[in-house]
Amino acid sequence: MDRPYDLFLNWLSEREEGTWDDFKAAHSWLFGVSDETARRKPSWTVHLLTTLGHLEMDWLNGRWSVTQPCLVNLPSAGATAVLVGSRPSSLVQRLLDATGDEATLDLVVTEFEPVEGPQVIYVQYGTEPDILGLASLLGARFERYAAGWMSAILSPIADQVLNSRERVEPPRGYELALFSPRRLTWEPAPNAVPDGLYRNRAYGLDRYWLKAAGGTHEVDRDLGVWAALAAANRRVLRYEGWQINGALEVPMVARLPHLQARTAVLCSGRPPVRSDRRTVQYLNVPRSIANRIAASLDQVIVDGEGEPVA
Amino acid sequence: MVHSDPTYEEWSRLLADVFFPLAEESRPVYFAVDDDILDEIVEAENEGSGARSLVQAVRPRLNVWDPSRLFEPLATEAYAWAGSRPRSPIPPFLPGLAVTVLAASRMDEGDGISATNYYARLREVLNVPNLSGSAFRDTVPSVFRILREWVDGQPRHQRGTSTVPVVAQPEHVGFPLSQVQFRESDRRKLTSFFRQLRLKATDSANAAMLLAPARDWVGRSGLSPGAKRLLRSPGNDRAAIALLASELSRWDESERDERGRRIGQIRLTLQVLGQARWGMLATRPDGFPSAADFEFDGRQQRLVSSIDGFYDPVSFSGTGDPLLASLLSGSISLRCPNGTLRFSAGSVIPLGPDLTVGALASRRRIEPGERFSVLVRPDMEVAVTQLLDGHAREGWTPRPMMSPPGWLLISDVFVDLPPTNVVDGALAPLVPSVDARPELVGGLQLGGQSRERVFLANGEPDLWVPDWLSGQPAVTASIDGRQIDWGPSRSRVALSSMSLDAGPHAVTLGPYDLRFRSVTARVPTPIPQERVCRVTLHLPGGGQVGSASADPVDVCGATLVGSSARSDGAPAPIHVPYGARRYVAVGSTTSMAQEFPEPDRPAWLTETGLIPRTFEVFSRPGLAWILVEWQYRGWSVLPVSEAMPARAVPTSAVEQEWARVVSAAAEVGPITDQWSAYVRLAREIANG
Repeated sequence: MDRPYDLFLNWLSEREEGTWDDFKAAHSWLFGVSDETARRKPSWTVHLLTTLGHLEMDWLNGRWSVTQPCLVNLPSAGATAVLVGSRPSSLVQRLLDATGDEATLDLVVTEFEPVEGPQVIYVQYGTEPDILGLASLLGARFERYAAGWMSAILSPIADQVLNSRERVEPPRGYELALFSPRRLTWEPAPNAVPDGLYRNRAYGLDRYWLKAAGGTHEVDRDLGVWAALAAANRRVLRYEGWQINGALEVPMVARLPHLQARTAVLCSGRPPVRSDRRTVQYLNVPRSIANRIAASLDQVIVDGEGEPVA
Repeated sequence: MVHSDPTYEEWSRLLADVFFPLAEESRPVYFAVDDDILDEIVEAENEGSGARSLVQAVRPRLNVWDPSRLFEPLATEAYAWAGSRPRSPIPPFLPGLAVTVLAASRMDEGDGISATNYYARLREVLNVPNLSGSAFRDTVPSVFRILREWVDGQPRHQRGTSTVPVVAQPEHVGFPLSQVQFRESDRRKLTSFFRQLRLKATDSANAAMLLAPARDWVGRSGLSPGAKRLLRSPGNDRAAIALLASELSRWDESERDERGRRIGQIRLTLQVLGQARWGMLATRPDGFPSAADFEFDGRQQRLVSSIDGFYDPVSFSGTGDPLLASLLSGSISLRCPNGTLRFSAGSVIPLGPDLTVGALASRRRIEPGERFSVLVRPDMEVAVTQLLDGHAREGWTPRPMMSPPGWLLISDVFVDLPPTNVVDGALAPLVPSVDARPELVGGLQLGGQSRERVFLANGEPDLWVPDWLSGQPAVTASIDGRQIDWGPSRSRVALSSMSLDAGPHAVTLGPYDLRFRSVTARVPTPIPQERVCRVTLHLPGGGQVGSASADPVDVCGATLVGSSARSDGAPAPIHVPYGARRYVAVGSTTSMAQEFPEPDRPAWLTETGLIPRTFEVFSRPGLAWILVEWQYRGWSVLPVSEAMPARAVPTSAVEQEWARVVSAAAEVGPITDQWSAYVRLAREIANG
């Protein structure tokens, strides 16, 4: 049997679109088959697949759709592109045909199996006409520097909070937890009196409320966490520079918001890698991209030693 | 309106209408007279009035002054009617036979079915103390045979098929006993069994498969002793199956009490948004009042209905509310003059999301993939915890503060699949299962909602088998004619693990036949643009973020769509191959001839399994060419810009190097005017 993530992405690609209920039902069935994956939450898989750029979710209407296939060139990776988006069987077959023994284009395909997530399909190409030729065969787009333009349009976190649903009182009487920016933990809250990010665990998905001087907004979890960190002036974004590019590191509890995460992922094509410091690292992120992500989160990047980076 | 004391002739018609109605179908019919049905027939206000009325009408027609010949008038009347032509459509002897059946219905389970016991009951019914057995034996069996001939002789079996036996067991008294093995009240109680298994009328074709679960249900059914005997006795298989098939085929999918009234269902609710609050929701079957005071445990609860089909939700004052306590005490009925509402609390009560009330509501079973809360009695706590440890997703949490007294609430319970081992029956509500018939569950469905369900190959659904069917060892399953090897629980088979080829598939399980198709790909149909999900951003291009004047763009995956969005403006890098001896950046003026080293291969790429062949160099002002010198194969030339060459500072060392490397690569450069100009200038410099 295929790896669950690959089979799942294959199914999503063949279906093309559907409801959140469809997604959950298929996910529960597929990931529940194996004890190893049985506890994977559908919401986690949505986060992963949207971060990788394969899927978009419309939470307001409870719908999803796969994204258009796209060959995304990776920065400073030696003519290497990653396949992002819909991956139906017909597209995979065309890719195999284009890179097989009979192929005329200068292309090498490599598949990487991350710990979490579907296979990452890399295409190394000789010249730009080769990769453009492949994109044409696949009916895909070619993006020369997706992380670049995406980082340039990231909205400041304060604007994103203001655009969230407002004037919603935090719920009372059912398990409430307050996010501690200092300890990076969720702690039981007897009430929702102090400002901060609250988590309400009810049936369905967990819900999050950000209470601040400007009012209370129901927010996406990741957005809320980074808004709370910014409000507390807590700097948790680290950058480890390499000879070429570097690793952007965030605490596990503070995974990057949707588009910031995708921007970082599109630098390597790989899902974030867990470290033994309870953090995750986004690989091959150029310093300029890291700075834009940090600015959008109202953060100042600190280096590996914890010092602010100019 | 029925007269409270019908005459003998009126009783004949009433009994025929109730027990042998014109129905144009061949179903088994029973002359199942008992006290309850007689009370119903006369719409009695006091229990037993119906039976008293019947006996009162019958006694004058019997030889009560000579008990040894008690039933002779009845037999005489029956023979006369049977031999007359034309004859009345309704046999006149029905009331007389009815009292003999009434006596049989009053035999307790402990009495056994001996003739002695039967005659004792018959004497009581007719108030004829010295009635002898011979008086019955010599006459009544013949009248039952006439009844059978009348029923079976109807055109098109319009009054059903008689269940009066040809040979009675026990001899003689077996005739009336045969008719009350299954009473009307039993027939109504069967609806509870049908509902538990979520059967439909169409399942009647497979009634033989229902006999085993029906026998299992009988012990807790409240059926009459005769009905229990009929269903349990191995020798009665054919009759029992015919009965189940007949009743199920006519079932309207509503549960009824012993008087034939519909029963409303109560669901326990838990509101978890805002202040956590327990409550209840009751269905309102047809005929139930829109507002009524329902009694329970000596108390009253007023229910009002503002929408069809349901009473308005009731919120309890707290976990100590008396109605909540009553609901959780076991089985409870809330009664009003027009109906009954029922709730039965097991030791484990799952509560799942319910859109009707916008809260959690009690369910019979947990549904896979849904977040449930579970109420557990203390004596089941250990067993439930063990089951959840092994089979639920992590994250379930005990909530003692929200639990009613004597119970523990556990929240965030997800159970996606049934355990492969057999679990205790009390834990059944925590085991996802199907109730009525085998079903294809889960899988990666691609479409085909109408006639044929289509699944992605390797994502074939699971075959779920109801417990009652999987518990029958003789039942086997196959797919496409190939035997399926069942797991120990026999309740779920993962068809995706059977390496099925793409194509149509047929699963056969006992009498059931399930079909689906698997495919490796689907014909793509472009999604309408309005249904494509995207992230819309409001760029601050002249307006405040989020305002109407901002410039919206949509991000979809790794592409940008929008009115003025351009995502392909990045400069193209020059891909320079790794592994050369040296690299020289050559400018369009002779002042740039700069050697540079190749960078290290990025470690993350090699960890990912990629061997980078090139590294990137971006164009910068003045850079025209990158010349690459190899160890054994000379030079190669990579163009950067289209600028023509020009001399900078003549006779400098840099210019000499510029000329030397261009001259060295002269023969391998592109055959263009641009490169020819560079070569000419290099040779001019070299030649002084």
